[in-house]
Amino acid sequence: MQLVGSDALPESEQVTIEVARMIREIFLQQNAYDAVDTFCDMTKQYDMMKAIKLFAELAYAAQIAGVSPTQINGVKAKNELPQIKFIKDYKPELAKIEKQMDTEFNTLRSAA
Amino acid sequence: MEVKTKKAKEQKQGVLKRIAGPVVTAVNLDAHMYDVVKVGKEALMGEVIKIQGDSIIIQVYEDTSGIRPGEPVENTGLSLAVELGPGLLTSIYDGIQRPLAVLVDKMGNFIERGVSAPGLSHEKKWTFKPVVKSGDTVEPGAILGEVQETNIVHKVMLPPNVKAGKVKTIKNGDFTVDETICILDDGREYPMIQRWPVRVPRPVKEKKNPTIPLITGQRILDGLFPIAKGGTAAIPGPFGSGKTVTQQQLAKWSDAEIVVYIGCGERGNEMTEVLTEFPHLEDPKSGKPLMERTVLIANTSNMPVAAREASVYTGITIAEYFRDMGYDVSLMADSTSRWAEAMREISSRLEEMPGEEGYPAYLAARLSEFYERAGLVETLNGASGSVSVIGAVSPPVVISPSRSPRTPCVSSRFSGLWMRSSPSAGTSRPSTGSTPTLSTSRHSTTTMTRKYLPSGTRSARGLWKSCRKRPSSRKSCSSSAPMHFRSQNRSP
Repeated sequence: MQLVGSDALPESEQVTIEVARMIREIFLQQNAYDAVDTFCDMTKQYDMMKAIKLFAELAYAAQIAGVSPTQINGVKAKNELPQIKFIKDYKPELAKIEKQMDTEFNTLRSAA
Repeated sequence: MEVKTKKAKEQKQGVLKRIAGPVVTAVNLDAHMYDVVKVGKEALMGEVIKIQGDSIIIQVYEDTSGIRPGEPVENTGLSLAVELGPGLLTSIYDGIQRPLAVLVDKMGNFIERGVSAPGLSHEKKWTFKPVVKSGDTVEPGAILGEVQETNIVHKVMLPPNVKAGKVKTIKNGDFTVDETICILDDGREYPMIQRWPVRVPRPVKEKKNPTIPLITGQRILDGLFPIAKGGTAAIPGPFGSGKTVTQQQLAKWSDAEIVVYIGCGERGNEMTEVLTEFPHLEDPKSGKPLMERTVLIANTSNMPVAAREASVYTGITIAEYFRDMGYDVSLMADSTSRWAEAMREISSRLEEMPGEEGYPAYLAARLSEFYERAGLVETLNGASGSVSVIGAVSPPVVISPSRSPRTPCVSSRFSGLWMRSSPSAGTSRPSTGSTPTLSTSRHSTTTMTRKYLPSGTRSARGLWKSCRKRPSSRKSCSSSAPMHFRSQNRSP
């Protein structure tokens, strides 16, 4: 994988790689020097993980429905997700992102 | 600082015979193991760590330069102990519980020798509210009353090593730590302060399985590697990888009620960072400054080695004291490998048989003995408390492909020195600017290896390989060779 890149993998596994990347970069990476992100309570950790799980479920469903991994990776809501690390009152923003994610995947699925 | 364990008649003066860095030998001294002694005219504090026939071998907690044989050694007949009582929180101590803030007032920014200061303020008055009544039977370790120390309630306890008794009088009001607050009906009087020898674990009723997680607020720790309250953890990692940051994050945000932070052999500026930052940080639960629940113990790399060995014990004894009140305490030791190196230094001065890498053979025993003091326990007074120990482990010294088992351990110590003294400290790449002279002295074949030094931009690893391919040069490229390449490669 590290040698040839994720393009060589089957499509479903490319989604797995992308989800793993999100777990690493969004969930695990934390900024100790940021006023908000320095501490993350359990509820927020749970909500963040749940958002990534939601993405994973939607992405697998979309992939089975015939959406290409490039399109899945292009979902804009995914790029919004890291922001919630730095927002103290993250819940409204997270709900917005989750809704947007849902809408985007719906559009992708209906297009495929 | 000291606890009365022996009778005064055993106190005696001896004479210094031999001095080897922090380890000195005295003769004509009546001493027991782990007695605290005053060494030399300046009365430097030391501790008996070995007795060989008539020779008493002492580790001195201060710099011994300028001391000469013939100077007096006085045995206090006491063992190394810490003062425990209200006033511990927010304090900054050195390895033997001297409050640094008090020392700064006494003598400025650098500590001189032979100074002593009590661990707790003996003048400050605390408001003591009793929780027991006269006529109550109190067991050892029982909570007698409470003192509001910062936002933490400091529970004043009967020392754990005394007999149970009936309370005759219990006072209410403002007292210093030395004033009697409780008199038992057999006439024993107890002040708020208690002293406990650092090398003895404080007793508990029962040690339980750690089952409650320590919530750290760090996603990578809570998500992947949950730490239990009363558990132990090691944070290994190369220089600059964030061991200290991780520990500071844990000290700041973990849901332990009390934090004991031991800066053990780390750089002074890292400790300064903690000292300047903590008072400004807010506890996410109480909103009060985090410093109010913290005890800091600083033994930076420029402080005496023997005190470094003691600092870890001082820290865990303080942690155990708060645990006995029923608090969850987390103890950060940064770093335990500097502590091990301190033990190694003392051990080699004692001329003990070295174990692996020159560490003392009893290193593993000492480490496990220390980590055994962590745990979730039922305290003597029936409360549940815990001490979680989180130790950072700095890397050992450079490990080069050529390091053979035959390489004397002393070379690894030298390379460790190069790394630590390098200006680029904080990165994982060792800079070996001063290597050539030193390695020339170790290997007369250095000049031969010079032939293969880089003229272009090839990597050190590549060079090492190409060097190894030449059978004739193979022998000459012993342990010093890769360091050479690195240093040459880095020069402009």
